[in-house]
Amino acid sequence: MKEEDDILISRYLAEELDDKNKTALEARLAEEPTLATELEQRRHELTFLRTEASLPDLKSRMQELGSQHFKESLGNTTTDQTASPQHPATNTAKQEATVRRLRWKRWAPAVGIAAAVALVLLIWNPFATAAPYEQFAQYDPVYLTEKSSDAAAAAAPAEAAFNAGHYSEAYKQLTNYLTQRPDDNEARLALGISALETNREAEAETIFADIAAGSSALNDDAQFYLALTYFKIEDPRAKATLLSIDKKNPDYGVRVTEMLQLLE
Amino acid sequence: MQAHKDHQLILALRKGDFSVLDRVYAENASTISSWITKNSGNLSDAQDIFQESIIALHQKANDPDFTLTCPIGALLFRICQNKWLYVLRKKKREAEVRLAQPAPSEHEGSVHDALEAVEEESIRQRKMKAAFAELSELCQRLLRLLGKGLPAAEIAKQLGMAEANTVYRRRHACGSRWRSLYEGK
Repeated sequence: MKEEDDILISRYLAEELDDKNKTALEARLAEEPTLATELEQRRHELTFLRTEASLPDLKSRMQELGSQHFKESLGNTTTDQTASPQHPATNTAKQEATVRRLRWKRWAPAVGIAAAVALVLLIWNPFATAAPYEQFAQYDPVYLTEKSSDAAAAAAPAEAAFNAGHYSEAYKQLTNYLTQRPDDNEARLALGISALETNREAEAETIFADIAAGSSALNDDAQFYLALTYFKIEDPRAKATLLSIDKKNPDYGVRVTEMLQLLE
Repeated sequence: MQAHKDHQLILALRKGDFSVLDRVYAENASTISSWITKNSGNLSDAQDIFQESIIALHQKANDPDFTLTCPIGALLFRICQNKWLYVLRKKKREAEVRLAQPAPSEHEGSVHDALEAVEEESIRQRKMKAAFAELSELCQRLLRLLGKGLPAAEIAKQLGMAEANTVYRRRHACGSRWRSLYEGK
């Protein structure tokens, strides 16, 4: 594939071509199967990239809906399972479905107190949903090993630990890696996340605020994670930080909207 | 082929409007749970399989040429069935599956075609993803930004490149490398 044709297709896909050049390219596409195949392949690549870009928001939404609907459907499936006694899951479900009589008069005062405490907590705490922070804490993997052969030995364990979700180890390894490549913003962002996940919120805040204030391609990411840090520690700055992020942001828009709703 | 009315859900997923999933879950989660729990699985398995299937559907929904010509529930059920059968095969427990197939409907042919399209897309994207991870940080960023539909001039600014044309020249290099990697997988 010649570079000029590749660039022509890029401009065509970005809808940057004027009518004359667009018509000329479309005429060539009709006559040159190789060029048409190239365009089709580029469209497949864009489909992949669009999918990857919106995947964190999709997963966040599914996590929320999954716990809701699959919990709700437990009753339905338990009924169905009674027809298939040979399955181990059936027995478990039946055991879970066993009804026990409670002595309500005996427990009523304690239940009343517990309900009152729960109500007070619900009113007092704006973050009161099931695991409100965890449902938004979804992270993309990092890729450090490709970047530099001189830091490859430090990059591999840092990348492996972070991508496996072992944040204590990732924090240690990323700190080591960054002594060799202190300007690697992707690694700094991952260090911030590792700090956040290991309850070093003050350090996470400093890292995210620093990257967000810079001019790297990771500004939006850092701004979201800064908001997530405030959200986790129930800092009132969470709302203002979330409001500074475009709700149409394909990576974070859905999460920003949902977090703001929880803060209302 | 004429689009089914559920194609509007595909269009919403394509736009990143995941609020439509409320309806998809409400209408299909219990059916999938019931089938999987009747076939050697538990609720956790059902939730995993359902999520994987939604991801597969989302992958295909992002293909602008894809048109859904059958009910989304019928397609989801088939995707889930195939995924669960694959799990059981891996565990060498296929004999335990009672093959609780849905009754053939007027959409059977469309479901089959859509299922093939979804599975083909999943395989393609799996290869692309593995190859993408082998690209340099700059290539990954550049391709991601292009995938988001940002103008080349804006990408040039973000990546510290001189002009939009530099972005496209760099894309050519990154894209060629990426393709050689995923086509070799």
